Amino acid sequence: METYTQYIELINDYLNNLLSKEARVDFETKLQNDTAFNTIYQEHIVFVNGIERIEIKYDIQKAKRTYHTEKWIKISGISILVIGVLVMLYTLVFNTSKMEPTPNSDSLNTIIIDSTSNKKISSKTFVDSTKVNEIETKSEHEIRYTTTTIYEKFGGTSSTDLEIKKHPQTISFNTQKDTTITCKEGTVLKITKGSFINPKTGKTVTGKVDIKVTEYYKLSDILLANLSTVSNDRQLETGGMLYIEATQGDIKLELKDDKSIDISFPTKNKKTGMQLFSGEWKDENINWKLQTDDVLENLDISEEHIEELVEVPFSVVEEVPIFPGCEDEVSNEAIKKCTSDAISKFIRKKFNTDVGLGLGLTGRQRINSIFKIDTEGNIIFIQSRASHPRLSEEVDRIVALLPKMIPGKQRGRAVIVPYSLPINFDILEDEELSKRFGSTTVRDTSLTGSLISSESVEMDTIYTSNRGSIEFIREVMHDKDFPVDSLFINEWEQYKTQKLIRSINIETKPNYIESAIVLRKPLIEMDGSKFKILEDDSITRGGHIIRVPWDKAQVPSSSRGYKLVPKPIFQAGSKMVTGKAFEARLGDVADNTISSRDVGYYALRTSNLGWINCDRFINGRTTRIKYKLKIKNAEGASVNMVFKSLNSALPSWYTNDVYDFQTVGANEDVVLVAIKRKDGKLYYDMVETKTKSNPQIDFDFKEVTIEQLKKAIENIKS
Amino acid sequence: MSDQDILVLFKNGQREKAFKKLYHLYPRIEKLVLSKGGSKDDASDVFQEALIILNRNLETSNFKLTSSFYTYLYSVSRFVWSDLQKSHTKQQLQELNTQEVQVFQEVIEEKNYQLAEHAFLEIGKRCQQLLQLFYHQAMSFKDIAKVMQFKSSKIAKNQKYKCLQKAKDIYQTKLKSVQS
Repeated sequence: METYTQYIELINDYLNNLLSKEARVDFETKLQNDTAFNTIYQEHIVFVNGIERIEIKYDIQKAKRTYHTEKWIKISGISILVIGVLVMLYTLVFNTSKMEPTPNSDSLNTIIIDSTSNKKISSKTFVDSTKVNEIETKSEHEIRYTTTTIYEKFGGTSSTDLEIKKHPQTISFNTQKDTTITCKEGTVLKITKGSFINPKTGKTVTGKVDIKVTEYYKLSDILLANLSTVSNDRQLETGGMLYIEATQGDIKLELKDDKSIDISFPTKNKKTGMQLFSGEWKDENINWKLQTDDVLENLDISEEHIEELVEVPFSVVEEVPIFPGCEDEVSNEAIKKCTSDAISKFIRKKFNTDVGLGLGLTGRQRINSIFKIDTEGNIIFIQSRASHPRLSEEVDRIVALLPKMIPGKQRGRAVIVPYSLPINFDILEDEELSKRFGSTTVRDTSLTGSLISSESVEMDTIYTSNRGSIEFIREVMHDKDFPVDSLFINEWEQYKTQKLIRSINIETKPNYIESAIVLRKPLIEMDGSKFKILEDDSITRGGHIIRVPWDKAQVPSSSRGYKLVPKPIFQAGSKMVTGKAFEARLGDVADNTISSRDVGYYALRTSNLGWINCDRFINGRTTRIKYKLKIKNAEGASVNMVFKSLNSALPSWYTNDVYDFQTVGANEDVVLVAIKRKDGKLYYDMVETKTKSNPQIDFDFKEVTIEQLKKAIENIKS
Repeated sequence: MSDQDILVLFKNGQREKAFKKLYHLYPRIEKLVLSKGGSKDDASDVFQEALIILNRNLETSNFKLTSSFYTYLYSVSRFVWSDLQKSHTKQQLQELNTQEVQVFQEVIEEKNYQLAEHAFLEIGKRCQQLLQLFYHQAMSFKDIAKVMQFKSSKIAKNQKYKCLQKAKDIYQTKLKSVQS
């Protein structure tokens, strides 16, 4: 039994891959040699598989159920649809006899509405926006009806007529407000407040009014409604027909004399010369009469166009674009917050802060990125500005990675939404960097501020000058042989943070302030703290020792204070390397990871030129121009512009064979530095020029060593 | 939904979804079983068995689906059904090609697993739960002890071996009765 349990445990470990390599081999040999063990193993395998069946079966059953449910839903969905259609047909056929149609010329008061007419709306109104078109049929919109066919159709039983009649769309609205109604097929009605009167009382109607609109745009609709497009025997091309009726309760309303309804037709292809016609039944056929000489502009066409191109900023757009995952927020405000938070979070997550290293930038970096979310929800038109092109490139890269969003909407239409995204991030200061690089920095311990200063040195530089913290401690201790080692310096620092050592100012003589150091009592009493100070050497206040450091001269200067900073590192392909390594790799023919751009940055950076951001020119007083350069034999060269007056370099953006410096001041004395690395060799050329629009500059690349290149750049400054 | 998509579902561990897609093939398999004189319930069982075998194969790394899912499931279902009926003759078995032999062996092997499954279902509910927690959810004995309120992980461990032993005994007797 005991061995059996052990075997099972072993087998479990084997199956779960928990055994070491040797143990595995042992196990496999045992499996081959020990039949009893093998049987147990086989049996166990079968058993584990047997248990597994239960799990698989469970999944299969679940899958089967969902499959059947979905199938059932599909079938029932289709049958409901079929039944619905049947019911609709049934009601239509049986109700027609009850409905009264009689499109009679007597009962029809033919009235038009348009933006200019003052005519009354009465019970029924046809409006047709048509174009006078000579008889030749040009498109499918042009219909010619002969009176006979119409008559036949019309003369048929009224029941069949109604069966195919289009149902009007009923819209309720408040007459006390200006109302814009968009109908199903796109007709837009603009009704000003208090437009309707009750024909019986003659009073302006207030409150809710129902308006019924039937739109005839499709050829089939027009034909089925027995509408034709003939005006005094001339063929008209129709832009659509409308039937409008306004009611309140059972009372049909009329339009006030001085009011009008603006109607816009949703014509896709704009046709000029559309005019308003009013319909008039004549011989059981409808005849359209030109109502006004004013040409009806297809208002909505221009409107539609404008709306499509409209850009509404994120802060004001009615419905903001929605970042995936923010759909469930309740209010627009919440969605807005969710979306902007999500974008920021996304950028934060993806932004590679290492990009900032080795560019000679420190401190807070501000990058501004502007992009647009188009009507499809895609991110387009990304533009970023930063203090260094590497940074803006990185931001561009990330912004382009943003997921597709649900587009923003203004008045119900998808619009382009520009989004401005400021990004701040810190590149660590030198001191922090030195920590980060693990150097053993001896820090400045000047308690009195100006006593000791130390200078920044590169990490492996030997440096001789300056008093360090050792001297300072000795000055405080009034003991030139006070033993100070690095451990003690660390402790000293700690005591400082624990406020056991503090610096204060005291008046040693009248009108004479000196800085002094307080060594607090616990420090003196602490075991192993090395602070043992003779009583006569001290001023005691509350048990602490307050003492003025010795004069500097009393402690001989023997040690040095360093502040070590990491050597600048540079980008070589995807890696960051020190300058030395960088230069060493330049000559390596096989090493093609270092691009011309990397060399360009390296050369300019090591020459102590500052970088300049083209933003700088935006608010300058000088005239600004766009500076773009096209170079024939560029071959991926890096081109930078060095401003002699500013002692700074401006990098260029390289896209599609064009070096773009974006906006620069005009008439500046600059040197264009083109650097190219090819097959382990460096080439360069410099051209002195003044900035002006459309520059024509050719480079004549010469081979150089990195030393010569650096020197050449140094010389620009002088 | 192509076979490739279904394979991806399996790979991503969306086994249930994949099964759902494969169920679209069920009506055709059902037809096969019905034509051979089986009932609808038989067809359902056969198809389920075929899916289990397919799933097992997909989990082994060296398995490659050479034909479409339908062809594969069809041939497996055919063997499962004939095995259920014990209708294959020696003659038939000799005529099988290598691929079919492979499938046939899988079907036979699966039958063993089925026996183990039945044995497992005959041990107590608590035993079942314990074994499932250990083998499926890969829970540690410590967690199992917590979930099943054993006093210690050691007790859980002991209990597990007892359960396993019990199930295996049942399995052995079943195996004997089948073979005899």
